[in-house]
Amino acid sequence: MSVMDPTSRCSNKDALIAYLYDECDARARSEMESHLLGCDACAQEVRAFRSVRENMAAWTPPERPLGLRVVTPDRMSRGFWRRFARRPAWALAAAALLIVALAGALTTVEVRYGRDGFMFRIGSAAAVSSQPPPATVWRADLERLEQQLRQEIGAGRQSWPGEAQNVVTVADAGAAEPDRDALLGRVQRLIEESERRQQRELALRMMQMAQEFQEQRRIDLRAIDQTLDQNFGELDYLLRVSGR
Amino acid sequence: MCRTDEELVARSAAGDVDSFSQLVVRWERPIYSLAYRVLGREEDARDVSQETFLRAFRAVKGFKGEAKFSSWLYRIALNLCRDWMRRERRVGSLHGVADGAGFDFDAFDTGEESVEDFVVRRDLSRVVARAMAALPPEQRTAIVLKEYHGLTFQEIADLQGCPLSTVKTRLYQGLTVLRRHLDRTGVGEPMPVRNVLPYSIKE
Repeated sequence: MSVMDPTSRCSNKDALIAYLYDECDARARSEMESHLLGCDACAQEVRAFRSVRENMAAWTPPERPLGLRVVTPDRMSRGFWRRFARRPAWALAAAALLIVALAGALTTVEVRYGRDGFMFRIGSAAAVSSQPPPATVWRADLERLEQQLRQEIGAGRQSWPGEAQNVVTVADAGAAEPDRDALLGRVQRLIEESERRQQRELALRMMQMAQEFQEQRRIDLRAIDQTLDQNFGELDYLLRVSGR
Repeated sequence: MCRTDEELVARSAAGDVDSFSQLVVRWERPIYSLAYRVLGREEDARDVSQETFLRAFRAVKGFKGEAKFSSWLYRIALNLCRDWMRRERRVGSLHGVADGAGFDFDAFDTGEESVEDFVVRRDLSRVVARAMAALPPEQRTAIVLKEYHGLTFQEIADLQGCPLSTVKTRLYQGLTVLRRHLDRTGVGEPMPVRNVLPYSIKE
Protein backbone atom coordinates (compact mmCIF):
# COMPACT_ATOMS: atom_id res chain seq x y z
CA MET A 1 0.00 0.00 0.00
CA SER A 2 2.90 2.30 0.70
CA VAL A 3 4.16 2.03 -2.88
CA MET A 4 1.29 3.41 -4.87
CA ASP A 5 1.31 5.22 -8.14
CA PRO A 6 -0.14 8.75 -8.11
CA THR A 7 -3.03 7.92 -10.44
CA SER A 8 -4.50 5.25 -8.17
CA ARG A 9 -4.10 7.55 -5.18
CA CYS A 10 -6.05 10.28 -7.03
CA SER A 11 -8.86 7.87 -7.84
CA ASN A 12 -9.07 6.60 -4.25
CA LYS A 13 -11.75 8.95 -2.98
CA ASP A 14 -12.40 6.82 0.10
CA ALA A 15 -8.86 7.54 1.27
CA LEU A 16 -9.31 11.24 0.62
CA ILE A 17 -12.53 11.34 2.65
CA ALA A 18 -10.97 9.33 5.47
CA TYR A 19 -8.07 11.80 5.53
CA LEU A 20 -10.41 14.80 5.40
CA TYR A 21 -12.38 13.58 8.42
CA ASP A 22 -9.31 12.28 10.18
CA GLU A 23 -10.58 8.72 10.31
CA CYS A 24 -7.51 6.98 9.05
CA ASP A 25 -4.45 5.48 10.70
CA ALA A 26 -1.09 7.26 10.90
CA ARG A 27 0.34 5.40 7.91
CA ALA A 28 -2.56 6.26 5.60
CA ARG A 29 -2.38 9.85 6.78
CA SER A 30 1.30 10.08 6.03
CA GLU A 31 0.80 8.57 2.56
CA MET A 32 -1.98 11.00 1.78
CA GLU A 33 0.10 13.96 2.95
CA SER A 34 2.97 12.90 0.70
CA HIS A 35 0.57 12.55 -2.18
CA LEU A 36 -0.95 15.97 -1.61
CA LEU A 37 2.49 17.57 -1.74
CA GLY A 38 2.90 16.41 -5.32
CA CYS A 39 -0.68 16.49 -6.60
CA ASP A 40 -2.23 19.92 -7.08
CA ALA A 41 -5.63 18.56 -8.06
CA CYS A 42 -6.09 16.53 -4.89
CA ALA A 43 -4.62 19.28 -2.70
CA GLN A 44 -7.06 21.76 -4.18
CA GLU A 45 -9.95 19.37 -3.65
CA VAL A 46 -9.06 18.91 0.01
CA ARG A 47 -8.81 22.70 0.49
CA ALA A 48 -12.18 23.20 -1.21
CA PHE A 49 -13.84 20.52 0.92
CA ARG A 50 -12.44 22.09 4.09
CA SER A 51 -13.86 25.42 3.00
CA VAL A 52 -17.27 23.82 2.35
CA ARG A 53 -17.21 22.23 5.78
CA GLU A 54 -16.45 25.51 7.48
CA ASN A 55 -19.21 27.31 5.60
CA MET A 56 -21.68 24.59 6.53
CA ALA A 57 -21.39 25.57 10.17
CA ALA A 58 -23.40 28.72 9.35
CA TRP A 59 -26.54 26.64 8.89
CA THR A 60 -28.05 26.33 12.35
CA PRO A 61 -31.53 25.18 13.28
CA PRO A 62 -33.88 27.58 15.09
CA GLU A 63 -33.07 27.73 18.77
CA ARG A 64 -36.58 28.20 20.03
CA PRO A 65 -37.43 25.81 22.87
CA LEU A 66 -39.24 22.67 21.85
CA GLY A 67 -41.15 22.35 25.09
CA LEU A 68 -41.39 18.58 24.93
CA ARG A 69 -42.77 17.20 28.16
CA VAL A 70 -43.56 13.70 29.31
CA VAL A 71 -47.13 13.51 30.53
CA THR A 72 -48.52 10.16 31.59
CA PRO A 73 -52.26 9.46 31.26
CA ASP A 74 -52.97 9.69 35.01
CA ARG A 75 -51.14 13.03 35.30
CA MET A 76 -52.87 14.22 32.17
CA SER A 77 -56.37 13.40 33.41
CA ARG A 78 -55.70 14.99 36.80
CA GLY A 79 -54.39 18.10 35.12
CA PHE A 80 -57.26 18.21 32.70
CA TRP A 81 -59.99 18.06 35.35
CA ARG A 82 -58.15 20.54 37.54
CA ARG A 83 -57.94 22.99 34.64
CA PHE A 84 -61.51 22.21 33.65
CA ALA A 85 -62.82 23.04 37.12
CA ARG A 86 -61.08 26.41 37.08
CA ARG A 87 -62.88 27.59 33.93
CA PRO A 88 -65.57 30.30 34.36
CA ALA A 89 -69.22 29.36 34.00
CA TRP A 90 -69.69 31.19 30.70
CA ALA A 91 -66.79 29.27 29.17
CA LEU A 92 -68.25 25.96 30.31
CA ALA A 93 -71.64 26.96 28.87
CA ALA A 94 -70.04 27.90 25.55
CA ALA A 95 -68.16 24.60 25.46
CA ALA A 96 -71.37 22.71 26.20
CA LEU A 97 -73.14 24.54 23.36
CA LEU A 98 -70.32 23.73 21.01
CA ILE A 99 -70.46 20.05 21.93
CA VAL A 100 -74.23 19.98 21.40
CA ALA A 101 -73.83 21.70 18.03
CA LEU A 102 -71.15 19.26 16.97
CA ALA A 103 -73.22 16.32 18.12
CA GLY A 104 -76.15 17.70 16.14
CA ALA A 105 -74.03 18.01 13.04
CA LEU A 106 -72.85 14.43 13.37
CA THR A 107 -76.22 12.82 14.00
CA THR A 108 -78.76 11.57 11.55
CA VAL A 109 -82.52 11.08 11.75
CA GLU A 110 -83.74 7.54 11.52
CA VAL A 111 -87.36 6.90 10.50
CA ARG A 112 -89.05 3.55 11.05
CA TYR A 113 -92.47 2.34 10.13
CA GLY A 114 -94.37 -0.08 12.35
CA ARG A 115 -97.86 -1.09 13.34
CA ASP A 116 -98.09 1.87 15.64
CA GLY A 117 -97.32 4.30 12.88
CA PHE A 118 -94.01 6.08 12.40
CA MET A 119 -91.15 6.38 14.79
CA PHE A 120 -88.43 9.04 14.57
CA ARG A 121 -85.14 8.51 16.30
CA ILE A 122 -81.97 10.58 16.48
CA GLY A 123 -78.80 8.48 16.19
CA SER A 124 -75.13 8.94 15.53
CA ALA A 125 -73.90 8.93 11.97
CA ALA A 126 -71.44 6.09 12.41
CA ALA A 127 -71.64 5.16 8.76
CA VAL A 128 -70.64 8.66 7.79
CA SER A 129 -67.77 9.03 10.14
CA SER A 130 -66.34 5.61 9.34
CA GLN A 131 -65.69 6.67 5.76
CA PRO A 132 -62.96 9.26 5.71
CA PRO A 133 -62.97 11.61 2.72
CA PRO A 134 -60.31 11.13 0.07
CA ALA A 135 -57.02 12.90 0.72
CA THR A 136 -56.97 15.09 -2.35
CA VAL A 137 -60.02 16.68 -3.89
CA TRP A 138 -59.88 19.18 -6.65
CA ARG A 139 -61.90 22.35 -6.29
CA ALA A 140 -63.76 21.76 -9.55
CA ASP A 141 -64.91 18.36 -8.32
CA LEU A 142 -66.06 19.88 -5.07
CA GLU A 143 -68.03 22.57 -6.83
CA ARG A 144 -69.63 20.04 -9.12
CA LEU A 145 -70.56 17.86 -6.17
CA GLU A 146 -71.95 20.85 -4.29
CA GLN A 147 -74.07 21.84 -7.30
CA GLN A 148 -75.40 18.33 -7.63
CA LEU A 149 -76.27 18.16 -3.96
CA ARG A 150 -78.09 21.47 -4.07
CA GLN A 151 -80.16 20.28 -7.00
CA GLU A 152 -80.99 17.04 -5.29
CA ILE A 153 -81.93 18.76 -2.06
CA GLY A 154 -84.05 21.29 -3.95
CA ALA A 155 -85.86 18.55 -5.85
CA GLY A 156 -86.34 16.58 -2.67
CA ARG A 157 -87.91 19.52 -0.88
CA GLN A 158 -90.50 19.92 -3.63
CA SER A 159 -91.59 16.31 -3.48
CA TRP A 160 -91.46 15.75 0.28
CA PRO A 161 -94.65 17.52 1.41
CA GLY A 162 -96.85 15.30 -0.71
CA GLU A 163 -95.05 12.17 0.36
CA ALA A 164 -95.22 13.14 3.98
CA GLN A 165 -98.95 13.78 3.77
CA ASN A 166 -99.52 10.33 2.33
CA VAL A 167 -97.50 8.72 5.01
CA VAL A 168 -99.31 10.46 7.82
CA THR A 169 -102.66 9.59 6.38
CA VAL A 170 -101.86 5.92 6.15
CA ALA A 171 -100.36 5.82 9.58
CA ASP A 172 -103.29 7.56 11.17
CA ALA A 173 -105.96 5.59 9.46
CA GLY A 174 -104.32 2.18 9.69
CA ALA A 175 -106.89 1.01 7.12
CA ALA A 176 -104.92 0.91 3.91
CA GLU A 177 -103.40 -2.55 4.42
CA PRO A 178 -103.23 -3.47 0.70
CA ASP A 179 -100.91 -0.53 -0.04
CA ARG A 180 -98.73 -1.15 2.95
CA ASP A 181 -95.85 -2.89 1.15
CA ALA A 182 -95.71 -0.29 -1.58
CA LEU A 183 -95.76 2.44 0.99
CA LEU A 184 -93.03 0.78 3.00
CA GLY A 185 -90.88 0.56 -0.10
CA ARG A 186 -91.33 4.23 -0.86
CA VAL A 187 -90.56 5.25 2.69
CA GLN A 188 -87.49 3.05 2.71
CA ARG A 189 -86.25 4.63 -0.51
CA LEU A 190 -86.85 8.10 0.92
CA ILE A 191 -84.92 7.25 4.02
CA GLU A 192 -82.02 5.80 2.08
CA GLU A 193 -81.89 8.83 -0.19
CA SER A 194 -81.95 11.13 2.80
CA GLU A 195 -79.12 9.23 4.45
CA ARG A 196 -77.01 9.28 1.31
CA ARG A 197 -77.54 13.01 0.96
CA GLN A 198 -76.52 13.63 4.54
CA GLN A 199 -73.41 11.49 4.19
CA ARG A 200 -72.31 13.23 1.03
CA GLU A 201 -73.03 16.65 2.46
CA LEU A 202 -70.99 15.93 5.55
CA ALA A 203 -68.12 14.51 3.49
CA LEU A 204 -68.25 17.58 1.28
CA ARG A 205 -68.08 19.93 4.23
CA MET A 206 -65.15 18.08 5.74
CA MET A 207 -63.24 18.10 2.46
CA GLN A 208 -63.89 21.78 1.96
CA MET A 209 -62.73 22.57 5.47
CA ALA A 210 -59.55 20.55 5.04
CA GLN A 211 -58.74 22.20 1.73
CA GLU A 212 -59.45 25.70 2.99
CA PHE A 213 -57.26 25.06 6.00
CA GLN A 214 -54.38 23.92 3.77
CA GLU A 215 -54.76 26.91 1.47
CA GLN A 216 -54.82 29.35 4.35
CA ARG A 217 -51.73 27.73 5.81
CA ARG A 218 -49.85 28.12 2.53
CA ILE A 219 -50.93 31.75 2.21
CA ASP A 220 -49.85 32.52 5.77
CA LEU A 221 -46.46 30.89 5.33
CA ARG A 222 -45.87 32.78 2.09
CA ALA A 223 -46.88 36.07 3.73
CA ILE A 224 -44.54 35.48 6.65
CA ASP A 225 -41.68 34.67 4.31
CA GLN A 226 -42.30 37.79 2.23
CA THR A 227 -42.45 39.98 5.32
CA LEU A 228 -39.17 38.58 6.58
CA ASP A 229 -37.50 39.08 3.20
CA GLN A 230 -38.80 42.64 3.08
CA ASN A 231 -37.55 43.40 6.59
CA PHE A 232 -34.13 42.03 5.82
CA GLY A 233 -34.02 43.91 2.54
CA GLU A 234 -34.60 47.09 4.48
CA LEU A 235 -31.99 46.07 7.01
CA ASP A 236 -29.46 45.46 4.22
CA TYR A 237 -30.28 48.86 2.80
CA LEU A 238 -29.84 50.56 6.16
CA LEU A 239 -26.52 48.81 6.62
CA ARG A 240 -25.31 49.93 3.22
CA VAL A 241 -26.45 53.50 3.89
CA SER A 242 -24.89 53.60 7.33
CA GLY A 243 -21.65 52.21 5.90
CA ARG A 244 -21.23 55.11 3.43
CA MET B 1 -26.30 14.48 40.22
CA CYS B 2 -25.88 13.79 36.55
CA ARG B 3 -26.79 10.23 35.60
CA THR B 4 -25.60 8.51 32.44
CA ASP B 5 -27.95 7.65 29.62
CA GLU B 6 -27.74 3.99 30.56
CA GLU B 7 -28.78 4.66 34.16
CA LEU B 8 -31.67 6.83 33.06
CA VAL B 9 -32.78 4.24 30.51
CA ALA B 10 -32.72 1.52 33.17
CA ARG B 11 -34.84 3.67 35.48
CA SER B 12 -37.20 4.60 32.65
CA ALA B 13 -37.65 0.94 31.80
CA ALA B 14 -38.63 0.36 35.43
CA GLY B 15 -41.37 2.96 35.08
CA ASP B 16 -39.63 6.11 36.29
CA VAL B 17 -41.14 8.84 34.15
CA ASP B 18 -38.88 11.56 35.55
CA SER B 19 -35.82 9.69 34.33
CA PHE B 20 -37.25 9.55 30.86
CA SER B 21 -37.98 13.28 31.11
CA GLN B 22 -34.29 13.85 31.77
CA LEU B 23 -33.42 11.87 28.65
CA VAL B 24 -35.85 14.03 26.68
CA VAL B 25 -34.25 17.21 27.98
CA ARG B 26 -30.81 15.86 27.15
CA TRP B 27 -31.58 14.67 23.62
CA GLU B 28 -34.39 16.83 22.29
CA ARG B 29 -32.08 19.40 20.68
CA PRO B 30 -29.86 16.90 18.84
CA ILE B 31 -32.87 14.96 17.60
CA TYR B 32 -34.66 18.14 16.56
CA SER B 33 -31.55 19.45 14.78
CA LEU B 34 -31.13 16.16 12.96
CA ALA B 35 -34.75 16.18 11.79
CA TYR B 36 -34.58 19.86 10.87
CA ARG B 37 -31.52 19.44 8.69
CA VAL B 38 -32.76 16.24 7.07
CA LEU B 39 -36.32 17.44 6.44
CA GLY B 40 -35.64 21.15 6.22
CA ARG B 41 -38.80 22.44 7.86
CA GLU B 42 -39.24 23.51 11.43
CA GLU B 43 -42.76 22.26 11.95
CA ASP B 44 -42.01 18.83 10.49
CA ALA B 45 -38.86 18.60 12.57
CA ARG B 46 -40.88 19.35 15.69
CA ASP B 47 -43.41 16.67 14.82
CA VAL B 48 -40.70 14.13 14.14
CA SER B 49 -38.93 14.97 17.41
CA GLN B 50 -42.12 14.55 19.38
CA GLU B 51 -42.94 11.28 17.66
CA THR B 52 -39.39 10.01 18.21
CA PHE B 53 -39.65 10.44 21.96
CA LEU B 54 -43.15 9.07 22.01
CA ARG B 55 -41.96 5.89 20.29
CA ALA B 56 -38.91 5.70 22.50
CA PHE B 57 -41.10 6.05 25.60
CA ARG B 58 -43.34 3.23 24.42
CA ALA B 59 -40.42 0.96 23.57
CA VAL B 60 -37.96 1.80 26.33
CA LYS B 61 -38.85 -1.33 28.29
CA GLY B 62 -37.72 -3.43 25.34
CA PHE B 63 -34.45 -1.54 24.90
CA LYS B 64 -31.74 -4.04 25.79
CA GLY B 65 -28.77 -1.77 25.44
CA GLU B 66 -27.06 -3.52 22.52
CA ALA B 67 -26.51 -0.07 21.03
CA LYS B 68 -26.09 3.30 22.69
CA PHE B 69 -29.33 5.00 23.64
CA SER B 70 -28.42 7.94 21.40
CA SER B 71 -27.90 5.64 18.40
CA TRP B 72 -31.22 4.03 19.10
CA LEU B 73 -32.92 7.46 19.22
CA TYR B 74 -31.16 8.54 16.02
CA ARG B 75 -32.38 5.41 14.29
CA ILE B 76 -35.98 6.07 15.32
CA ALA B 77 -35.74 9.69 14.19
CA LEU B 78 -34.16 8.79 10.84
CA ASN B 79 -36.81 6.15 10.17
CA LEU B 80 -39.48 8.74 10.86
CA CYS B 81 -37.73 11.26 8.59
CA ARG B 82 -37.61 8.67 5.83
CA ASP B 83 -41.31 7.91 6.22
CA TRP B 84 -42.00 11.64 6.24
CA MET B 85 -40.14 12.20 2.98
CA ARG B 86 -41.84 9.24 1.33
CA ARG B 87 -45.23 10.58 2.32
CA GLU B 88 -44.32 14.03 1.03
CA ARG B 89 -43.38 12.53 -2.32
CA ARG B 90 -46.56 10.44 -2.42
CA VAL B 91 -48.94 13.33 -1.81
CA GLY B 92 -46.91 15.56 -4.12
CA SER B 93 -46.28 18.22 -1.56
CA LEU B 94 -45.39 21.67 -2.83
CA HIS B 95 -42.74 21.98 -0.16
CA GLY B 96 -39.14 21.19 -0.85
CA VAL B 97 -36.44 20.66 1.68
CA ALA B 98 -35.25 23.74 3.52
CA ASP B 99 -34.45 26.86 1.61
CA GLY B 100 -33.15 28.60 4.70
CA ALA B 101 -36.43 30.35 5.40
CA GLY B 102 -36.38 28.81 8.86
CA PHE B 103 -33.31 30.74 9.90
CA ASP B 104 -33.53 31.63 13.54
CA PHE B 105 -33.61 35.38 13.92
CA ASP B 106 -33.57 35.02 17.68
CA ALA B 107 -30.06 33.68 17.25
CA PHE B 108 -28.76 37.19 16.76
CA ASP B 109 -26.54 37.77 19.73
CA THR B 110 -25.55 41.41 20.06
CA GLY B 111 -22.83 40.47 22.50
CA GLU B 112 -20.96 38.16 20.17
CA GLU B 113 -21.37 39.42 16.64
CA SER B 114 -22.09 42.59 14.74
CA VAL B 115 -25.20 43.17 12.68
CA GLU B 116 -23.10 42.90 9.52
CA ASP B 117 -21.77 39.50 10.54
CA PHE B 118 -25.26 38.39 11.43
CA VAL B 119 -26.60 39.38 8.00
CA VAL B 120 -23.71 37.61 6.26
CA ARG B 121 -24.25 34.53 8.39
CA ARG B 122 -27.96 34.56 7.59
CA ASP B 123 -27.27 34.76 3.86
CA LEU B 124 -24.67 32.03 4.08
CA SER B 125 -27.11 29.90 6.05
CA ARG B 126 -29.62 30.21 3.24
CA VAL B 127 -27.07 29.31 0.62
CA VAL B 128 -25.98 26.22 2.56
CA ALA B 129 -29.58 25.21 3.20
CA ARG B 130 -30.41 25.44 -0.49
CA ALA B 131 -27.30 23.49 -1.42
CA MET B 132 -28.19 20.78 1.11
CA ALA B 133 -31.73 20.65 -0.26
CA ALA B 134 -30.31 19.81 -3.67
CA LEU B 135 -28.67 16.63 -2.37
CA PRO B 136 -30.34 13.21 -2.56
CA PRO B 137 -31.71 12.23 0.88
CA GLU B 138 -29.06 9.54 1.52
CA GLN B 139 -26.18 11.92 0.84
CA ARG B 140 -27.82 14.70 2.83
CA THR B 141 -28.38 12.40 5.80
CA ALA B 142 -24.80 11.12 5.71
CA ILE B 143 -23.42 14.66 5.62
CA VAL B 144 -25.70 15.84 8.41
CA LEU B 145 -24.70 12.92 10.63
CA LYS B 146 -21.00 13.50 9.94
CA GLU B 147 -20.78 17.27 9.92
CA TYR B 148 -23.28 18.28 12.56
CA HIS B 149 -23.38 15.25 14.84
CA GLY B 150 -19.83 14.00 14.60
CA LEU B 151 -20.67 10.34 14.01
CA THR B 152 -17.99 7.98 12.77
CA PHE B 153 -18.20 6.35 9.34
CA GLN B 154 -19.11 3.08 11.04
CA GLU B 155 -21.92 4.67 13.09
CA ILE B 156 -23.36 6.25 9.95
CA ALA B 157 -23.09 2.95 8.09
CA ASP B 158 -24.99 1.23 10.91
CA LEU B 159 -27.71 3.88 10.93
CA GLN B 160 -28.07 3.96 7.16
CA GLY B 161 -27.77 0.20 6.81
CA CYS B 162 -25.07 0.33 4.17
CA PRO B 163 -21.38 -0.61 3.82
CA LEU B 164 -18.64 1.68 5.08
CA SER B 165 -17.44 2.44 1.56
CA THR B 166 -20.94 3.58 0.58
CA VAL B 167 -20.90 6.12 3.41
CA LYS B 168 -17.57 7.51 2.17
CA THR B 169 -18.88 7.67 -1.37
CA ARG B 170 -21.99 9.50 -0.22
CA LEU B 171 -19.89 11.98 1.71
CA TYR B 172 -17.54 12.54 -1.23
CA GLN B 173 -20.36 13.00 -3.72
CA GLY B 174 -22.32 15.22 -1.33
CA LEU B 175 -19.34 17.46 -0.65
CA THR B 176 -18.64 17.71 -4.37
CA VAL B 177 -22.19 18.89 -5.06
CA LEU B 178 -22.05 21.34 -2.16
CA ARG B 179 -18.71 22.69 -3.34
CA ARG B 180 -20.09 23.26 -6.84
CA HIS B 181 -23.23 24.89 -5.46
CA LEU B 182 -21.34 27.22 -3.12
CA ASP B 183 -18.88 28.18 -5.87
CA ARG B 184 -21.77 29.00 -8.18
CA THR B 185 -23.39 31.25 -5.60
CA GLY B 186 -20.13 33.08 -5.00
CA VAL B 187 -19.40 31.71 -1.55
CA GLY B 188 -15.65 31.40 -1.54
CA GLU B 189 -13.63 31.60 1.61
CA PRO B 190 -15.43 30.52 4.74
CA MET B 191 -16.46 33.12 7.27
CA PRO B 192 -15.71 32.60 10.93
CA VAL B 193 -18.71 31.03 12.63
CA ARG B 194 -19.36 29.49 15.98
CA ASN B 195 -21.02 26.17 16.82
CA VAL B 196 -19.13 24.06 14.36
CA LEU B 197 -20.04 20.95 16.28
CA PRO B 198 -22.38 21.78 19.13
CA TYR B 199 -22.91 18.20 20.23
CA SER B 200 -21.87 14.74 19.43
CA ILE B 201 -23.08 11.29 20.30
CA LYS B 202 -19.50 10.32 20.96
CA GLU B 203 -18.85 9.67 24.59
